[in-house]
Amino acid sequence: MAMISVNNISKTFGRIKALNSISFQINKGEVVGLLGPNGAGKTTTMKILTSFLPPDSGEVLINSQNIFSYPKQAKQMIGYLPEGTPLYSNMRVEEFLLYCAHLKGLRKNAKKAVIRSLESCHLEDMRKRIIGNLSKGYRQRVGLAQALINDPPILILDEPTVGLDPNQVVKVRNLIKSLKKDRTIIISTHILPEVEAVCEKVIIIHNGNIIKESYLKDLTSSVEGTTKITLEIKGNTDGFISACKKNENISSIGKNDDESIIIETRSSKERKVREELFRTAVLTDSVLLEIRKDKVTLETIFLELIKEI
Amino acid sequence: MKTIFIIAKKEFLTYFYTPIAYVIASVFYIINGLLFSYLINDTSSNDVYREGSVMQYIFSNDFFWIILFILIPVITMRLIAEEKKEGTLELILTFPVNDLQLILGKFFGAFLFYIFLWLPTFIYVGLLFWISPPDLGPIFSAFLGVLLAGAMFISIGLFFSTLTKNQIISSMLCFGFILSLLIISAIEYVLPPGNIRFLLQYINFVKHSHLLSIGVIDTRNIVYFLSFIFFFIFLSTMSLEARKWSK
Repeated sequence: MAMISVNNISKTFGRIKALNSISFQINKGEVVGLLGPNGAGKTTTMKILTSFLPPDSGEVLINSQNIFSYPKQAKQMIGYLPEGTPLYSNMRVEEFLLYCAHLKGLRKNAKKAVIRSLESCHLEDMRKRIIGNLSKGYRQRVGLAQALINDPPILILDEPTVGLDPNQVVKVRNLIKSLKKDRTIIISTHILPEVEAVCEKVIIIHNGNIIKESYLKDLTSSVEGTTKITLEIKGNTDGFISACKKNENISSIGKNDDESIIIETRSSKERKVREELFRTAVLTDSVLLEIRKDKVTLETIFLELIKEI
Repeated sequence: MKTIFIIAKKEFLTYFYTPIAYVIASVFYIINGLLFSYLINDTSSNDVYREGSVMQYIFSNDFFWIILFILIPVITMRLIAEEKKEGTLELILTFPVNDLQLILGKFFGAFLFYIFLWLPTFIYVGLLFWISPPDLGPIFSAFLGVLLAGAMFISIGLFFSTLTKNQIISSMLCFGFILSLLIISAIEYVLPPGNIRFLLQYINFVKHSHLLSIGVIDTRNIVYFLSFIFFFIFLSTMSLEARKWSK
């Protein structure tokens, strides 16, 4: 059953159409990456999901309930980390989390909830610190701790790793992974490796439209029709290239700027082609210095998809 | 109800997280203290005749209004403007909190701080008992006037705080609005008797407060303040909700 279902929502700001009748479903327990370049409509989508902004048209159902008819119940189920992690910077970490816990309806067990969420975000040592004095990585964790405080079944995280140093990025990502359990998580990002690192499913938004919605494994295999092989070669380069052109398994061959040779082939034949390339090099009296298969990344898929539009 | 209380408590405490509370309170106590000792000295010299009691002056003389004109914008400017600037407005409104609850919480938080500022003036009442026992009735009605005028100004300040991210703009708008209200109502003095003059007379908060300060508790005066408070709380809530309809 769909935990979150978004039906034909549109949103316009002035003359800009931020969302153009988008729809998607997210099932319970899925970790979904909302991917798109800056200004694609990711943040607007999240603001609508968290009922901060209403859509101009369309509806959002959370656990089969319309969030604008039952905002309180919907808000209760969502932990949200807004873009840029806004926090009350003059409060202390523990104080702030207790305030959030109270506002989210926790009463007697609020203190326990604070301790639990401090632990799950590894913030125990920081509980007495003033939020304004924390580093960005810790602020991000306080933001996550706040989102987690009432143990909500849904987490919505808007660019959770933006502006962190590489070390902190890894830590926050691991933290997000550890929060999965049976939660439904939506992460927006424009960083592709992030989606690869944490998500199972990806929704790609561009100019307010969904241009691709698919599971990560299907997505990579769908573009895996061709594989690129990069070669570095010494000696009889021209002879090697002309010999390669005769090979029917190689669909195209060209030179990169740095004199390395790039070959495209059908993925199913890729292994065989690499063998043949080695033999061809020997036959044409050239030396193979490097042979490398380029992995299909989200980056390439993303660029391909945007190009199509 | 509980939610409003939680927000109000946090707002009240927030004044003490920053130096603001300490600066405001010190300045406020010094001015009021000086004023009180001046009034005592002045009243105790034989050649001065003053209409009304000392506390009546503290609670509604010209100084009272000057203090209020500056004090209220300072304590209300950050209420929503700061949340907008820091982005925490989005955070809190995606909690199970609705716009009205947030506005009321903010209002009562600032109002509590305002009451906190006035509490030490009861020491003055105690001192007066030591000098010569005053009439308590007018003191309480005057204090009611202090609370109502303060609440009215706070609701106005709160509204202007919802309009902008910038605290200085918010405080200037609040100050300008309250002052204009006073200036507009002063036009009545140059007008012939009639409906407009009556209207201008009615919107003059100094008059309403003055009646309370001399011990007259008239529902008209109370209704005047309450209607302003309700109206501006309503406007503030609408202003927050405007994000939902803005195109």
